[in-house]
Amino acid sequence: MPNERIDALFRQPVCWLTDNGPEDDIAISSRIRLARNLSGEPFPVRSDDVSLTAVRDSVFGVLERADSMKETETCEFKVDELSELDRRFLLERHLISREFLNPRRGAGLVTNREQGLFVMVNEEDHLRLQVLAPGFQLNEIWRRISRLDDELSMELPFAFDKTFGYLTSCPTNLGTGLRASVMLHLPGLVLTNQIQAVVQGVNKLGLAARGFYGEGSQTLGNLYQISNQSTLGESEEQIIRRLASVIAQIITHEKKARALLLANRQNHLMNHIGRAYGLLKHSYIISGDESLNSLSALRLGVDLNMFRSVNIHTVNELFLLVQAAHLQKYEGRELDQENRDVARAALLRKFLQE
Amino acid sequence: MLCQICNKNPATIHVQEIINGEKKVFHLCAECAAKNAETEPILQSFNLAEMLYNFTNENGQENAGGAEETSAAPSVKCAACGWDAERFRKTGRLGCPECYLVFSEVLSGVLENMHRGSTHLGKTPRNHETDHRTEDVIEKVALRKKIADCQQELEIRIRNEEYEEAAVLRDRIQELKKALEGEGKEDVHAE
Ligand SMILES: [Zn+2]
Ligand SMILES: [Zn+2]
Repeated sequence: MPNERIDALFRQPVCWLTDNGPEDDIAISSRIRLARNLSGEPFPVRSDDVSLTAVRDSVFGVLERADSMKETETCEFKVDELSELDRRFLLERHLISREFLNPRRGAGLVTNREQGLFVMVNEEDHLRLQVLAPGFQLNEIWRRISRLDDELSMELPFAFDKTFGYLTSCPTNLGTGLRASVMLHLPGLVLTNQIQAVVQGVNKLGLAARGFYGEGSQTLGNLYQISNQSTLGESEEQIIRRLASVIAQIITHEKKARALLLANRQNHLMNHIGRAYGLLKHSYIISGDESLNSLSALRLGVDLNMFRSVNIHTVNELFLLVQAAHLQKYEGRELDQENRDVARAALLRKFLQE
Repeated sequence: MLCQICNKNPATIHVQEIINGEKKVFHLCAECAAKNAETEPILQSFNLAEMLYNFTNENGQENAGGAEETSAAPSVKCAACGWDAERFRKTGRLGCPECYLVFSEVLSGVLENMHRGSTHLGKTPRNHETDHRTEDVIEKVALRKKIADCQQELEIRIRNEEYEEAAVLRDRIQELKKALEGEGKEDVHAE
């Protein structure tokens, strides 16, 4: 049974892919999440169905009234009542985490229509406030999510301790409950074999480098998500400043690597990009991973002004549409893997037609 | 247990991940974990939470009062939610906000390693100035603990067929539960 609100969301453009942002040739998107819990309530892991459902009802109620969410109309989802395909779709949009693929009772999502401000309810914590925007703009989105947090804290009794800060189910999120991250497209550093050193450097600085879907996911399409690990012992602004300075350096390195490739190995670079473009344009069967990796090369080509007929927004849209659940939403029916590979190739040929 | 990679050093990091519904567990020493963090997809998610699995061992060696802590740890239990040290170690998660008081001793060492400090320097909830909510929580914890104690005693009395004392306790529990509900009127839902 198709869910109308999910289908409406599918047709709604995603702000962090369609809008422009600072440094968006390298920084795809910036994200901040805040973990919050309600005092006097056990954390979701220890709670029961009745309490979890009551928490969801109450959080949904508060969010319906919140001014920060009101800029556009919001959509609410009882994630535990959605089909598996719909949940995968939400994961591909980065609106829910992997944990929500197997949701507990009372799991919920409230998002604004642009999908730039949203709240997961009863994931690991009672609330996970999230903001997502195009490009590299951590300070701006911090102000935005802090405003929503202030507003919610007037109505919801957040579990808070003067010494420990915001109390979270996992001690790794204790204190600010803040995880900030930027999704970077780093084909230059990959092609010049510098990526290992960068990832090592990032780890040494106490930051994390992860793949496309966050924790536990593989690196696909040369996309790397850089985020803070520590949440206690620094203010939110300090955490963001430390992360932002590292990200600014990575962006500079990536620019240098691209310039180096153009200067010294232009034929190799053009060949790499041109072949990827050919693959995307002329395949009749293509896997999701192969598509994402080729789209990464195509995106680099667009950044380098190699293609007049392809624009960056088409490439961004394709990054999303070639993924399994999006593809099935696009086709309007469920497809097994073999049929998905055929449908994906057809979709790519159509979108890249000159 | 020895590290799965070098088979030499004791495994101190236990990474557990559920990928496509399949549970995978890796047991590694710190050195090998660091070395393989970039190449092994599972280790890219290597979360500092996993350090928690380790806390009894390391505390036992490093802290002066370690021996006592190690033996005492399994019996620590949160009165508010019933979470115990064993569950904490297994999941790396706590059961409720009050658990932070109960497990504070165990946590203090772990937090230092995990974060850049052990004191919160960030923002405060908007209407926290009054602090009345914290007081409520503390009172609630005390009430819940009393109820749990009474219930335990009640079970013993019934087992010993001491029905008069049991009846008194039953009334006492009713009273305490009423008080807890009264305290909880600010809560999202009444129990
Ligand atoms: Zn080893
Ligand atoms: Zn507890």
